[in-house]
Formats: sequence, structure tokens, C-alpha cells
Amino acid sequence: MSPELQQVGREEFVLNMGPHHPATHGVLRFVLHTDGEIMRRAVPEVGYLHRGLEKLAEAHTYAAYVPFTDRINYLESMFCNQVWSMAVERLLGLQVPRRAEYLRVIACELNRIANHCIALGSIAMDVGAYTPFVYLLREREAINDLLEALCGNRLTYHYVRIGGVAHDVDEGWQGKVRAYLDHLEPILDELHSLVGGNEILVRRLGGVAVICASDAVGWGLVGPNLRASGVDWDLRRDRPYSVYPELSFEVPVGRGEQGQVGDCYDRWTVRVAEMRQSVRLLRQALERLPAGDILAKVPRSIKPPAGEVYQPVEGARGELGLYLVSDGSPKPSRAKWRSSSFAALSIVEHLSRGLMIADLVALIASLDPIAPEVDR
Amino acid sequence: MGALASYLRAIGRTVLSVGDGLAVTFSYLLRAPVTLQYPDRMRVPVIELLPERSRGMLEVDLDLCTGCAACDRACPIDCIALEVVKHAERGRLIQRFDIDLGKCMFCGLCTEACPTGAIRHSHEFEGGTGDVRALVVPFVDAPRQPAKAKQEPPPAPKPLGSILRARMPGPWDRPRPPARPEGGEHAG
Amino acid sequence: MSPAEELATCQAALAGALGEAPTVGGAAPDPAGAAAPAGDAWLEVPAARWREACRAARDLPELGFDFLRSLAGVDRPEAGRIDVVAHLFSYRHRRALVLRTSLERAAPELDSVAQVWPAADWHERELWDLLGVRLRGHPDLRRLLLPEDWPGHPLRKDWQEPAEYRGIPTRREARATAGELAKQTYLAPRGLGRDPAGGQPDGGGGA
Ligand code: SF4
Ligand code: SF4
Repeated sequence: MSPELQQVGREEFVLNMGPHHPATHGVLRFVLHTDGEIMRRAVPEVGYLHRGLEKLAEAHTYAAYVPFTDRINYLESMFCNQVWSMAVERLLGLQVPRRAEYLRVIACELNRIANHCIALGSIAMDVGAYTPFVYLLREREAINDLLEALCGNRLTYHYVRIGGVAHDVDEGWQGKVRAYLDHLEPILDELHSLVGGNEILVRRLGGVAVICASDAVGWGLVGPNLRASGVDWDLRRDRPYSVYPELSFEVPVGRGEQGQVGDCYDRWTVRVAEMRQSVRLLRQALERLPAGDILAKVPRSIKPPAGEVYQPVEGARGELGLYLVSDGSPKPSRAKWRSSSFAALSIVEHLSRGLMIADLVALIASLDPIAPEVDR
Repeated sequence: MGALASYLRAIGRTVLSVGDGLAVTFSYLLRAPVTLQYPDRMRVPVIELLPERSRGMLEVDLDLCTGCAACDRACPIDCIALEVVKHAERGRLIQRFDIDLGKCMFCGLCTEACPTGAIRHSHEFEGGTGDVRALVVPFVDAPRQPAKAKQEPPPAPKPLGSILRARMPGPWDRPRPPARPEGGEHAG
Repeated sequence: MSPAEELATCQAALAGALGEAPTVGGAAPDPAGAAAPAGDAWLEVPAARWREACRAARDLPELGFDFLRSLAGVDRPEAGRIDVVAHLFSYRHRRALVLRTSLERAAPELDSVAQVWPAADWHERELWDLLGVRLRGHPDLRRLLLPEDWPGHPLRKDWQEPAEYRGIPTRREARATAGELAKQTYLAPRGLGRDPAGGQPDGGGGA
């Protein structure tokens, strides 16, 4: 063998994936240190979408910051609105009318389904199946239309406000949601026969990039990613807020159907199961929607007493937390967002050792990170 | 032997599950298409399909505006530039009312703050332009008197979007291509 | 258990481990458990014992805080301090705790807890990036969100945004007055808009 050829394979190959790459879910970059197809490590480089939303909070009043929370994560804006409102309400000691709480649940669960449509679609797309992505986007489009009719915008809702919600719903809209749910349920079955049982998808996801429960907890994974690792935990059930205690639903947990507990396939199935639970929650919430006000009496200028809260909610990607410090003035003194994608990306380097490049793509997609939420 | 058998089984499962998936895909040949070809081949313009609450580009009806600046104060990102001056003879005058639609995030805080409904969201959304400054829309040409808070009789409401369309160039200036009749090119 | 009892349990356990009792701060829960106070209460430990306290919070069986929810820094220039606040949660006991310490604002330094909770790794990088807290013993203390050569630490209250970064202005140019712009674009005759015949408005793409 010639000396040059003997050198081949001795070096580490450094490859940039992103910032613009179809498999990176927003503008983020991975620096891959590879040895052939095998990864030595993949280092996420984030910050491309840093907009200083935490700094901006210091410059705006509590009510005026709500539209900014829409931009924390454009796929689950409803939850961002909600967590901000809940934190301020807790500082103010404000009671939210029950109708508003129900409307929040309805809006949030619709948002959760829409988010999971994207998540599942991109998992399928990243392992090579383009069609499911298009079908799922079509379903999400219907939710966008519903939410647009509800609150006037398709992604940046600005719907949940401090003390309640912005708009009421009428019978017609509720009917449309019911009709949509009737339409969606068979689609979810179809989704399973189209992709869920597909041997190629199973092979690409099953047993790949297993996250054990202690890793998942230690790295702070939350929501579907945590449950896929077998940790039976859902804030809606275990630390109930809003009107979730009045509604019945199950918390799906990863069971390792196609490999091990905590593999990519579990992260897929948990999300599919969660969509079904959201449908169930929506039906109940629509059924029980009480009459009444949609907005509590909120003071004209919101000045919470000095103090601080940490407010979590179970967002579509899991615990979305807000640490909010008030100094008694009309503007917050510090707001820190704790997002699920932040934790999900920070574990990638740890998991990437020894992974194939193609499996890294599956891992990232199955963690469902979203860059604006990491960078804020 | 066992390895070969499981390999063959995997191939079998693959063929079956791909068949499963294709059955779903083929069933879509028989369903109504959902895709619409925007913007040229819509039978109804998108703008007419938007729900009533839709928050499109802002417009201001100066016949209603009292110059109270509530919208200006409510806007979190200062897209509204409102100048009210005192004139020796003519009293308060609105000298400038610009909205920077390039900066606006369509949150609706200004319209909620307005006591008269002068500032409102139209349903127009197709504002793409090659010059970001072209999105600053002025609503006042020459200094003018603000409206009274209560007008008797109230002025007739202007059609949604008409004020904005008159004030900035946009796709509404272009002739619309004729819509393709239904059943033309397959849209699915 | 009421929040007050939970806090007392945590305080006692940490006191046992550290040899000194952490102080309770914030909206300390009413022992009678009457009205729920606004805001969270916290336990404050001296900065020198931070890592020890965190390790104890994770390892002591009666605490078992295995989940680091968030690690945030709060700048308090009026007091000359930067506070570091950790929000912990225990899946085993289903209980939350706020652990806090306070640093000298002039030279904030703290022991890294990335070995205690791996999740702290990125939170600490963010803490360094946005607040300028040096974490001793952190495996890879680089800026997380901002470029390495970004001036200052933006979440400090006295941080001023520079006018430009490497020649790129950080603000959009000042808004032209309506009059000037009117001459350029709006009141230009119709047809100079965006239709193909008219091309872009003035200043658009140029030639
Ligand atoms: S919609 Fe929001 S961002 Fe736009 S001008 Fe009104 S208040 Fe400002
Ligand atoms: S648009 Fe409305 S809020 Fe704004 S100045 Fe006029 S009347 Fe006041």
C-alpha cells in the first residue's frame, strides 16, 4: 500500500451540518467530527436566532410583552402566551374565569396537535419519507385555519392574555372543531398504516439513539422525549394547573415496541399517542365549556408586587418554564425562559458518540428541537 | 440459516408495509384535492376566504381618528409615528401618522387600544416589496384637524382595506389573471 | 405536605449536609399555610458552598432533586450583586426547590455544577454569555448564544448596545420622514409599484 493510502482513515474529518440544512429544524449548526460514517462527536452550535427576547422583556410592560412570547417558539405560541400569563397572574394573585381556562385548554390542545403534526412529519421526512410530511401539513393547515378564525393569526396567536383570553368562541366555531376532530381521528389511524408500521421507518428509528431514563432526567429532557424514555410524568396530570384535573386523559409512555425504551421510535409513538389524547381532551373541553366571562378584571397598568415565580406548563414539547422576577415596577426585571429544545439540543453531543451520520439525523428529528426556542 | 430467514422475513415485511402505505396514497387519487394554486388559480381570492378576525396590514381612517395617541402608546415596538401639533389659528392638527408595516408584528394591541376604531386591521396581507422603506405608510398628506370623539351622525364606515390600498402600491394594482375554471389542471 | 413544610424539610436536610442552615428568602410560606403567598420562596446558600449544596440536593435521599429545570442569573446592580438561581425538581418526591446564591457583581465567579447535573452545562454557558459569571471547573466555557467577540454581557442592566458589530449596524437606519419618502415612493404615480413594467420603487434593487 502506498504511504498516502495508509494515512487514509487516520484523521478526524470535520463536517459542518447547517446552519442551512434541511435536517436541522431551523437555523442551527452541528459540527460533526467523524471517522468515516461514524461520529466521534457532533457539537451543536446555536445562537443564530438569538433575538434577545429576555433582554427585551426588561424594556416592555407585562401586557405588551405577550406578543413577543409568540416568537419564542412559533410552533407552540399558545403555550408561550399561556405560561407568561400564568406567571403574571400568579404574581398578581389573579383568578382566571373558568370559561377562559377552558378556552385556553382548547386552544392549547389544538396547538399541540398542530405541533405534533410538524414533529412527526419532519421525523418521517428526515428518514426519507416525504409524503407523510405533506399529509400532516395538510392536517395542520386545518388547525391553522381554525386558530386564525379564533384569534386572527395563524402562528403568532396573541390569544391567551393576562387574566384570560382575547376572544370568545361561538357555536359555529365549536362545530367546526368537532367536525375537524371527527376528520382527524381516522387520519391518525391512516398515519399509522402509512408510516408507523412501515418497515423502513421502524428500522431507521427502532433501537436507534437510545436515551435511558437517568440520562433523560439528568439532561433535563421533558415532555414526549422524557416519556419516551419511560418516565411517566406529565405536568397536566401530576402538577395540575388550569382545568386539567377536571378532564380525563392518559399519559402515553415509551414501551420500546420496536427496540429499546427510549429509542427514536418511542419518541415517534409517544407523539402519535399524545395526539389521540389531545383529541380526547378537546372533545371533553368542548362538551363542558361553561358560560361566563373570558377575561378577569385586570388593572389598567399591571404592576405586580415585588417577587418572583417559576411557572411551568406542559407545552407540546414538554415543560416550558418561565422564571419571572418583578421589582414592583410596570416592567419585569428579569425573565428567563426554560425551553424544552434547549435541553434536547444539549444532550445531542453526549448521544452522538459512535452514531452514524444518518442516525444523527433521526435523533435530532425525534427530539423535535426548534431553533428559536433554543436561542430566544 | 436463521440470519437468512430473518433477512427474508424483513424483506417480506418491507414489501407488505410499503404496500400498506401505498394503499393510503392511492386512496388519495379518489379523494377531492385539497391544494389550491395560489395566487393565480384561486376561484375566490384568498382575501375573501379570511376569517373576520384576521389581522392583516393596518390602516387608519382619519375621519375617525381623534389624535389621542393611545395606539402609539400601546404599540410595543414603535411602529406608529404620530405627531399632533398646536396651530395658532387652527388648533390641534395631526401632522403625521405613519405606520411602519415592515416592523409591525400584527399583534393588534394598537387596535384594541383605539377608542374610536380608527385604526384597524385590514385583511390585506400581500405586502411584499423590494424596498423595506416602502412599507412605511403615511396616512396624513397635509396637517388636518382630528375628528371629534363623538360624531353625529357617525361617518359611513369605509370598506375594509380601501384606505390602505389607496395609500401604498401593491398587488391590488395589478390586473388579476383570470381564474382557471374548475377541473382544469389537477390541483392536488 | 404544605409548601412550608417542604421548604423546612429541605432546609433541615441541607443544614445537615453543609453544617450550616441555608437562609430562607422570598415570599416565605406562611407556616399556618393560610393564604398562598405570591411568588416562590427560596433557600440561599453561600457561594463558596454552592457545589456542595447542589450535590447534596441531588444525592441526599430525602431531597433527591434529580432534575435541574433552569439555572438563571439575575443582575441586581443597586445591591452590587448577581444572583444565581437554580430551579430544581425531584421526580421521586414530586417536589420543587429554588436554590440560590449571590455573587459579587464586580467579579462574579462560581463553581460549576455541570458534574452534578449534566443539564447545567449549557445553562452555565448561557450564564457566562449573557451575565458574565465565570464558572470554575466548567468543561467547555464558551459563549453559547452570542459570537465569541461580542462586547459585554447583555443581561447586565448597564449593558449598552453597540452601534455596530464588525461594521454591521445593529439598528435599522432611522426612519425617513414621511415627506421625504412620499417623494420617493408612495405618491409616485401608480404603476411605479411592483408590477413588472414599473420595476421596483426608488432605492429598491437599483439597476
Ligand atoms: S399591530 Fe402591534 S406591532 Fe403593529 S402597529 Fe399595532 S401595536 Fe404596533
Ligand atoms: S387611531 Fe385611534 S388610538 Fe390612534 S390616535 Fe387615532 S383615535 Fe387615537
